[in-house]
Amino acid sequence: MNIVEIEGLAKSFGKIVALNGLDMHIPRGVSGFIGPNGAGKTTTINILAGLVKPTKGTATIFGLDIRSESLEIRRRVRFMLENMYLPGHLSVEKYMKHVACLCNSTFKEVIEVLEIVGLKRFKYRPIKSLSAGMMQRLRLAQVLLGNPELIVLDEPTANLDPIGKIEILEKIAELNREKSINFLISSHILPELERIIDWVSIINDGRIIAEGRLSDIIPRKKYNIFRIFSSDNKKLVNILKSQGYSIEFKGSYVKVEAENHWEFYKTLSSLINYGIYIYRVEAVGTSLNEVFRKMVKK
Amino acid sequence: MKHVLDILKLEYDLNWRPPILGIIYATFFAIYLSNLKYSAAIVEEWEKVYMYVFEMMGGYMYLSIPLIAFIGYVYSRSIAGSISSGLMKTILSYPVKRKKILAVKFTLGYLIFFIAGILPMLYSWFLYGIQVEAFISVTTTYALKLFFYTAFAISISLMARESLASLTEILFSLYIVESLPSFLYMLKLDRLAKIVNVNMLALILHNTFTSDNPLATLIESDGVYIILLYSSLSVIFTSISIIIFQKMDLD
Repeated sequence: MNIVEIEGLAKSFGKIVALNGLDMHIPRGVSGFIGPNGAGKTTTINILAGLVKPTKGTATIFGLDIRSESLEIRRRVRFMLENMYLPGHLSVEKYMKHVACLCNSTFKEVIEVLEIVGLKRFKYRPIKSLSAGMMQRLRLAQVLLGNPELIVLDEPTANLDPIGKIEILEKIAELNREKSINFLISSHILPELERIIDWVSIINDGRIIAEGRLSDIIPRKKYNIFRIFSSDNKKLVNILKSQGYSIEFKGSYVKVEAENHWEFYKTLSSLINYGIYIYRVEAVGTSLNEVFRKMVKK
Repeated sequence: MKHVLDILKLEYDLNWRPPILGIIYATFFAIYLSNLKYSAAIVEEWEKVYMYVFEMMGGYMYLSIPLIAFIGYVYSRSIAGSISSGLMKTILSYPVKRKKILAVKFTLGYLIFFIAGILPMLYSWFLYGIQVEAFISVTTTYALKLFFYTAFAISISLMARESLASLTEILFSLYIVESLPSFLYMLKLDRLAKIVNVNMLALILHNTFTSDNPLATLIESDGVYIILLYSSLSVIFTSISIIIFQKMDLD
């Protein structure tokens, strides 16, 4: 059974149509909700959180209706909203205690979640003195309180450096593994998301344009994209182009898309006849980024 | 009940931290006391009752200026500011009812401003002894006026949704309300001016309490109309605030 079911959801802000008959189905596990800026991700999340009223359509979380049972939904689901405000003058501990009171959690749990996100030793620090990465961890800590069954994260890695992004995503994967918390993660930064999600819903112009298991959406097993590092990349580009391959010249390597692997390997082995030495070939498969780009372009 | 107290504590920590609270109480005291022109030491015993009434009424009138300024500041920050900063979204993403948030903001602000207004008035008690009728008249009028100002400021803040716009609109509108009686007197609309002048209620109530026929005095001096006008306006603005907030999209 899906934990989130959305049927024909529509929302307009004046003349601006944010959602245009959105249908979305999210199963248990870690799911990605991806789309370009302005596609309607944040509006969808705000509707699920009961912060924005939909113009049309229905949505349920754990079978609870977002219109009539919003309070019960917010007892079981936590929402880490985009750029969630943190009161800078309060200490980490004091703020977390307030949040704990809002969701009937305990001080013991506050300390536990601060430990989980690695902020326990900063608990007496005022929030304004924390770095952007620490603040993002604090936002994650506050949505972990009260044993939620589902956590919805809107751009959880925004404003983080590459290491911070990896840390946050690894923490999410770990929480799903160890505490069986379901996650719905909205993002437009795809490569890192791809590492932890099992299900993906792709949104564009207020509609879902693709949805399914990651393995179904991305034809990984085909490995039809290759990175080739050679002794003469420019010459290689000309040869492969003349043979009808779709290629991208990236400077230090050439990226090639090949539908037929065996034909491509034959071509590679013939390159020595042109005086080109192949140093390394990497089969990279199709990335979520590429699938996403192609779908959005359509 | 525990949940309400928890939200009260959160509201206090976010918007009423000691520096803000201290500034409000100190300003109210300073303005009220600046009106005390006579010392109890040089006033004859028989005059003390009149001095108490006189200074209490006068001091109360002066409190309107800081009251409007602080109500504008606090609610613009606590309501419009928290909507624009995203704090309201954060709080409402937890299992909290919107009505409860609004009720807490209203109640806490009302209580703090009520105590801030009453405390300096009690100071006169130490100087001249308490004159019960005057004290009840002024505190009742202050309570009614504060109810109206609070309900009005909250509804403007919810409509503005941005702190600076909210502050400007509250200050502008409430100073107009405060100066409306003078304007109506200028137009020779004396009775209407009296009815829209909530401050007049303090004097009317005092006369009512000290007269032989209180009910007749209250009706003849239009006190009933003042009470009805400001109570109904307060209820209307409170209802408007609840409707706006319940339907509001926090996008």
